[in-house]
Amino acid sequence: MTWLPVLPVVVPLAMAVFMALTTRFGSEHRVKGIIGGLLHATVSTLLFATVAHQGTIETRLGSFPRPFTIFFEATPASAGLVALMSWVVTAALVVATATMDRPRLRRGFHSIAQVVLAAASGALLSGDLFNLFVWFELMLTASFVLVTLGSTPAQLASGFKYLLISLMASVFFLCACGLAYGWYGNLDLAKIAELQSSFSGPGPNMIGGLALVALAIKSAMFPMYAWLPDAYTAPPPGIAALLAAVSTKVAAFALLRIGTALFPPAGGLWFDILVWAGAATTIAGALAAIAINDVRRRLAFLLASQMGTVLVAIGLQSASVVVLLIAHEMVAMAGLFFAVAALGRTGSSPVARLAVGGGFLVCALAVAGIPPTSGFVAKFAFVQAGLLAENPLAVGAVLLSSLLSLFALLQAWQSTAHESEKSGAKLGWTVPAVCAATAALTLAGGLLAGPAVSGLKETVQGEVLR
Amino acid sequence: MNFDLTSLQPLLVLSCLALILGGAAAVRPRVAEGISWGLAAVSALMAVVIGLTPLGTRASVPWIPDWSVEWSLHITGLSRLFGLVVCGMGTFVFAYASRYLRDYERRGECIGLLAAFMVSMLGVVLAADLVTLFVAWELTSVTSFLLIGIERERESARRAAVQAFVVTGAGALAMLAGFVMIYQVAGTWRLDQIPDLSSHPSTPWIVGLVALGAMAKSAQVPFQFWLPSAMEAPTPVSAYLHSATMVKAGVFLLLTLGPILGKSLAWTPILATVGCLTALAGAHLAWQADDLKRILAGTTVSSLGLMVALVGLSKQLATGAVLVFLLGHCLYKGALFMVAGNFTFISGEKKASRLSGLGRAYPLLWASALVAELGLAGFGPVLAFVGKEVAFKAAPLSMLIALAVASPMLVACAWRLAFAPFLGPTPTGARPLPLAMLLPPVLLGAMSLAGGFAPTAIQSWLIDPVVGPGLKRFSVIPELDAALLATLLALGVGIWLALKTRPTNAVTLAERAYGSVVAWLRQTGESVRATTQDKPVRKRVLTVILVATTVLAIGFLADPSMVWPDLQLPTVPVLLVATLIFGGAVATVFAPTRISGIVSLGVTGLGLALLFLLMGAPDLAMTQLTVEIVTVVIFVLVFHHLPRIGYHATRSIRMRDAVAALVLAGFLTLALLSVTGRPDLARSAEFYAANSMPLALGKNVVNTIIVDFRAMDTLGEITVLAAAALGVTSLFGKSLAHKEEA
Repeated sequence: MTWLPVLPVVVPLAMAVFMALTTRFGSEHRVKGIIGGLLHATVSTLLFATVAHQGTIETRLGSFPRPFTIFFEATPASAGLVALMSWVVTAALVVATATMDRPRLRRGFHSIAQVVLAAASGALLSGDLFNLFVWFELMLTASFVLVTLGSTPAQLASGFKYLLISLMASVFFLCACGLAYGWYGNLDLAKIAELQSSFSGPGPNMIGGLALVALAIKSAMFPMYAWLPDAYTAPPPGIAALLAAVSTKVAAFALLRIGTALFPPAGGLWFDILVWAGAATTIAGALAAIAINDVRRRLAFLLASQMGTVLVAIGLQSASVVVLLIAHEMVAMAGLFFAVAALGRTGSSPVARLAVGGGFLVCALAVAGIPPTSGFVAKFAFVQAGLLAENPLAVGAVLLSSLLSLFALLQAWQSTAHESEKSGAKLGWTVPAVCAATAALTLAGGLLAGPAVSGLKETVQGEVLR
Repeated sequence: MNFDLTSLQPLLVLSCLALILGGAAAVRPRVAEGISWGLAAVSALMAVVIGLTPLGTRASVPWIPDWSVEWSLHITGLSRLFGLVVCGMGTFVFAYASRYLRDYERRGECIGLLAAFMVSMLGVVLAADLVTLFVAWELTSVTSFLLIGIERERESARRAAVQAFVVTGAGALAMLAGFVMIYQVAGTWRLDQIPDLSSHPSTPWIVGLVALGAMAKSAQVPFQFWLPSAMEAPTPVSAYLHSATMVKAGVFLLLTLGPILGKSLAWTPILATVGCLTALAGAHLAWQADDLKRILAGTTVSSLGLMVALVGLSKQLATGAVLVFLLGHCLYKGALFMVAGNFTFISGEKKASRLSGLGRAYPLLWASALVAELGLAGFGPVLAFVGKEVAFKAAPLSMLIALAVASPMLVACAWRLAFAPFLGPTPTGARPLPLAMLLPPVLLGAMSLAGGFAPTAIQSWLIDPVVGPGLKRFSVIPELDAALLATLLALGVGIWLALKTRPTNAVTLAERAYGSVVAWLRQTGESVRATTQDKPVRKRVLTVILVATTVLAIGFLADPSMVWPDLQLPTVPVLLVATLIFGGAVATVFAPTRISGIVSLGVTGLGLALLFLLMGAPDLAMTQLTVEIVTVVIFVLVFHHLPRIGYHATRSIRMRDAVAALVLAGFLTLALLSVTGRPDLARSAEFYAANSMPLALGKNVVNTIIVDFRAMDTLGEITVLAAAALGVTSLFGKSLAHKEEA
């Protein structure tokens, strides 16, 4: 079964090629795109089921010995995140297909979305530093295409800033890769982690610092998150939902793994810095969100704020909390963006309105960490870890930010609930159904959290998360 | 079906039934009135079941076993008392609401949410562990938020709803931290297993955090302002959530944790002080208000203050007093809210001062109002009076003084509501009062009287299981002592106040403070937003450069024990090439036009290619050269169509940017040097070189690396190209801006 971890990368790439080959003038690839999402969801769920059943699968590409080869590593955490992401992205594809205009679909939305899926899966599964860089490059390029798809002035402006800042991150990332190879002699994250403890000096510190800056930009750390709110509001809501579910989350997971490998263990300098930078991000994002009236922009800032919480958790070195937070935010933030995409377009059907408004409310409560949602479980885990690490200030900062988020989100919900009563053009049942399903998933994530938590505990205790 | 009263099954079934009925009401508002009666019956049944379930019953389901978290409920003396309050009041409220909400647009939603609230509240009072308690606690906040803001077209209702949730939510967050601390000290979430933590060093923190939660929920100073604002909700909601049950959750929490934390040094000072201040603030709030429901909200705040202060005493007698007073308070305050709702129903008036002459037409309403006012005034043969008398006996002198100041104001409110609305000539146009709205307050009044005459029955059935035996029997006949004297004095002063003063409707300090905190938050948020968003691209890039420089500097300074590499003087050709590269870079920076800039950049690229050649990597040199040539050609083609370059930045700004760039470059060089200086290590390159032929069957090592050893990288990179190509074709397409506006 060692070929399984490669499938989440290969299948969407093949799908993208297939779409490109079958393109006629004006092809929208609606059905193919969603089938592609479902295929990816199927293989990644299969992967997750296998990993959950048999334990970590390690795939050495070309069967060359480690640490000289690229290898994919499907742990319960990484495979779980891939599976969850693929379902959320599939939902986003449905929403995007239903809400987006035809010209954008004709410009290749669905093929690019498949590329995003492939890149994100690769970035979650790969255990090789340079290979991770490649997947991040691919994700950046594809995300840039999605942000500018449609070429409106707002999209071009935000796309340009996104590209510029992200390319700087790439430069730092590449430098880190090169220097890490120079210092450790290979790019295998696990091997690097082993070698880590035997060296001292400024080399490892600076390599870790470069990787930190690169991934901090990509996971929206204050004050370098400026690209995010524009990039997530200029494109249509369907695209924003897709990006919200993927890019920052993948970057945070990579930061967890790379940080655990590259950051020198002695002193935990970068981890301490992450705690404070994350605390600043989570509060700054939530504060900025309060000042903004536009719902989508407010959500974008809240997303940055949420990422701050994840950064704090990475800084506290509690891997299971990080994974819980990422998984929860993937679903809950996407759910909010889905509901916004459907806003004012639900028609007069009370059920559709309830699905959209209720979906927004449930996801909003999840983001604010109100039980019994997935957000509560994640926050609960965070508070336990933070107090166990004897870092009450970090806990306080995150709790304060979740209070500010609650305020921002309740107001946003009220305005959307108010708006959805002015029934606009009808959307059909798909988008409300997706909203309801996402909300249900968020609730299930809270109510059925037991297995997830115990699975992650195994992950952390084993050799899996590095 | 086998109803096994020793487990909690029947209660859970009834709760589900209530939720289903509530959902049905929300979906089918037309039948909401009937459903409301059904809910009244269900909650009455639940009260009976709770009353019959033996104490000590416990049921649990695992939730997150790794953190030993489970869903668990139990019936103790305390939870039985509160459970009876929740379900008993539920019965009256649903009965009242069925008729009260008949013509209300959102009646279905309202009834449904009330049912959801009832179940959540039951969860709070029956919870057997801290996590279940917290979850249910937050669910009551959610339902309360939805109920307060149910008329979402009104700005004031929306604001009040958010305010209530945010204030109680803030307390809940502190409480969560406190609960986790309890768990980390005690090792269990189960309420019946947590030992007395009073002497543990972190207990003062726990007390503070938990007290914050209770204070926010029970509207204690300085959080008291949300409760009067919450009166935006329909009257049955106010009667149920915001007087009888939810606001008492804080008191419940303190009573629950009293045995665990009550002997801590922090407990009594915090709670007694806060409680007394709240009792005063609430009474003042009520005395100043003219809006019927705001008066009642103020008095509720005051009563909650009294309860919290008494819990803070951590004495058996005081706890007994709290429980009796709490029961009495539910009975009279619930009735008062219903009476107030009836006033508004009859006359359409919400202000106390505009009501008059209703006594002749509605004698039974007056009677029920009078009984309820006795409770509010704290005098007469009602249950609340019994509780207050015990409280006065339990309280120390300082607390008595606070109560003596608060009581007259409450008496004044009672006087104003008991007589002015009923006396005088009957107004015209008053509507008849339906029986469904008249009976609940009358019955509540009757219960209040019954309780007053037979407090010992309540004591032995409900109070003793909580506080333990040995408490003196309560009696409605007051002893001739200082407490009675204080009561009589308060009565006199209160009536004098009612006759002499008029309500001022002043906005309280705390309310204004909340407003300014929100305004301040928006302001700060705006400036936080502006620090990153309102910056030109140049500054955003600078920010990234500065952060990267700082990080590298920290990384270097954290451990500067650097092994400098053994640097040799470069050969002449290398030196020449380096000059070429450097010269090209400098020329690019100072280039006057884009063309000259791109050509200078090309020179740098050329230099790099030469460097590769010198280092013995001809294929890299070729690649580099091709890339450079193609780039320059494309750039030139594109730039031909662009306007002339314009430097918007001043000289000083460019100098600043140059310094920033050079410092970063310096640190990157330092990083490179530090890496070069490390002891040698087996490298992947050696493996590739050795295995190129045997494993990958290729002579050219670079080729085998690209297409075999690291083929996955190559796959990714060529996909980057493909995606970029797709992006370019999409960028060539027309802007879709006009379509979006259409």
